[in-house]
Amino acid sequence: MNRRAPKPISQGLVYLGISMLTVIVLYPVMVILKKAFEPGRNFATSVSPVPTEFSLEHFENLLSSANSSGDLLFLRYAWNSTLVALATTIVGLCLACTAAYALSRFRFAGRRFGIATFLAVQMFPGTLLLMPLYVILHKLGLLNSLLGLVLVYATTAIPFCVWTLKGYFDSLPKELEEAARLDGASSFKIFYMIMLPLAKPGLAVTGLFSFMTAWNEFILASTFLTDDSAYTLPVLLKSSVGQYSADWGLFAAGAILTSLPVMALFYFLQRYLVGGLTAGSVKG
Amino acid sequence: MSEVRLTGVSKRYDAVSRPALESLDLTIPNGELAVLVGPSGCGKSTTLRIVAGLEEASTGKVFIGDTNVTNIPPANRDIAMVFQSYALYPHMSVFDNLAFALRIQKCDEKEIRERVQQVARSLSIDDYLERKPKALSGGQRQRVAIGRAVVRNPKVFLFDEPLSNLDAKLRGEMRKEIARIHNSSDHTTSLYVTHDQIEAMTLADRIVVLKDGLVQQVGSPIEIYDNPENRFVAGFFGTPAMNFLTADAIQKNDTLHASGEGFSLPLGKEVGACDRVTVGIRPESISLHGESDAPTMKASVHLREVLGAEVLLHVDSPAGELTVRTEAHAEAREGDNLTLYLPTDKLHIFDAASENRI
Repeated sequence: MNRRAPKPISQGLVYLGISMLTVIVLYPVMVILKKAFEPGRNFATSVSPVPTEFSLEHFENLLSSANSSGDLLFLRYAWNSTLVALATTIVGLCLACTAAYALSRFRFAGRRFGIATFLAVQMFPGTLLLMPLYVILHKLGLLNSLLGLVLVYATTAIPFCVWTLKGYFDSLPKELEEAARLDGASSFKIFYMIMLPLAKPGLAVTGLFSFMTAWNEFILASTFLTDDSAYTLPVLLKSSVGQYSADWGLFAAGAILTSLPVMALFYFLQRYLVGGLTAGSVKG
Repeated sequence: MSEVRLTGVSKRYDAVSRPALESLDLTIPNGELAVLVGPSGCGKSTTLRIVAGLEEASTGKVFIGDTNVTNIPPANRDIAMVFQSYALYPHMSVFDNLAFALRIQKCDEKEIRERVQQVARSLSIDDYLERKPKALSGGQRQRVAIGRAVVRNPKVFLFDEPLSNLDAKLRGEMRKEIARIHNSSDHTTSLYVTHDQIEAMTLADRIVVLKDGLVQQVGSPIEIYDNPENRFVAGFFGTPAMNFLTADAIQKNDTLHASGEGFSLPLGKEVGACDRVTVGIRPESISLHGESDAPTMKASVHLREVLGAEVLLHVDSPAGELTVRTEAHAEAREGDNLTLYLPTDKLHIFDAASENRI
């Protein structure tokens, strides 16, 4: 393709715009980083994102704070969060991939209605469901339990997962299934021997999404978990910033530690993510 | 026995539009290779998919051997299909692709290994067994796709335009390969779908010409070429295509002539009640030299195409533009005036209205 070389001025403007956006995006992150490594409970009055002093005291406090029976709180809550996020991802993916495959490939009564419902459910904010979910969990005796939280997270994550995965299954060639049918494979074998391995990028995207939502979710967790032994990390973070006393240093250190696993996941899955998000857009 | 028989098979995708296939009756005897050919949308792929069981016929029955398979799922029909897009399982190695069906049938792993090796050797893909399909060239993928069908040793082979994604040279090679595979087993019946008349002519024991969901003609390649049933079949086969001229059928000196402005050709047969006819003549049947009593036509050359072994002359005649195929050293040049000889016995005569052969 013969493309004209961009003019220096317009190129300069583009770079200026991109730089400004980068600053806007990165500034809050820098401020949190600064606070995490700077001694003191409150934010400094200076707007500079560069710390003037350096200390690890917030991290030490965070990791060493224990409850009355000597459990390390941060590690305990990190374990809770991991359990909840992993279980949500597994439950969500298992249910979503079968549903998505069925909605993508089979024609049955209620299919269109099902798809539409999944979309409609997506439009409600999670907080709207707070009350009914609270009542349901209470009746089931699942308040204050991680299992209850997993169920709630999975139900909210599934519609999105189904939609994403359905889109992914739609993009896989039908001939592969026909070939497998002629080769004698049953519907279930076609699903798990052919389609599922091919849907790995889609599974990675939806799995990461479920994990992230469950890992970061605060409102539902703080409502349903009242006993501090069942807290997840976001609830712990919030508890360090109370109405009367706020330890922003502790909060910042916690926020950074909390975001590390998700960042690591993104890093390892990015190969799939790029493929997954553009799936079906290019024939190849 | 693996005769394939379709009786009264129709396919209608919705109530409004024209059926994709209309009451098709077709028998392909055991061991024959039948080619379904026609323009796109003629129903050839639909027919193949109905035989495969990937599509349900709206009416009619499908038999393989003596078994009515109309309601039997594809897996139990003992058929194998080669897809245009190859449809290789991308996440499996070539070996696993070939072994997939055998593993589903729970064959013994040692036997699977032997059969896969043997088929891979016969298709010269035994060096690539550990590779994934994406690491293969188009021709190699096509061989794997064919191998996956062959390894199962099915009663019926189905080919859905298997060569249309290959370049011309590979297509020629693979055509021979398919002919060899078909001939190597006496009891396997093959159905081959293509829009390419050369594939149809070279491969088929029997050609089925379809158009708009209706069978136009069934016959051996040479029957189809020499005695096309209607104008569509006549025009579909042969490169360059048959010349057609439309004229009035007029009685002259006791013989019937196709007569138009500036030309008159004796037809050599009765045409019944029909008064307008379409006369077809193949480019190779027109000659520049002939018997003095052969019907002739004056024409001038407006384009000369050299093909090497032969020359195509595009000429303007009173009956319109005609194509003449002649030997390479013909002296005619652009602008030359010629006398064309059109032997009566080489004329194909069709009713101009119904387009059927007279």
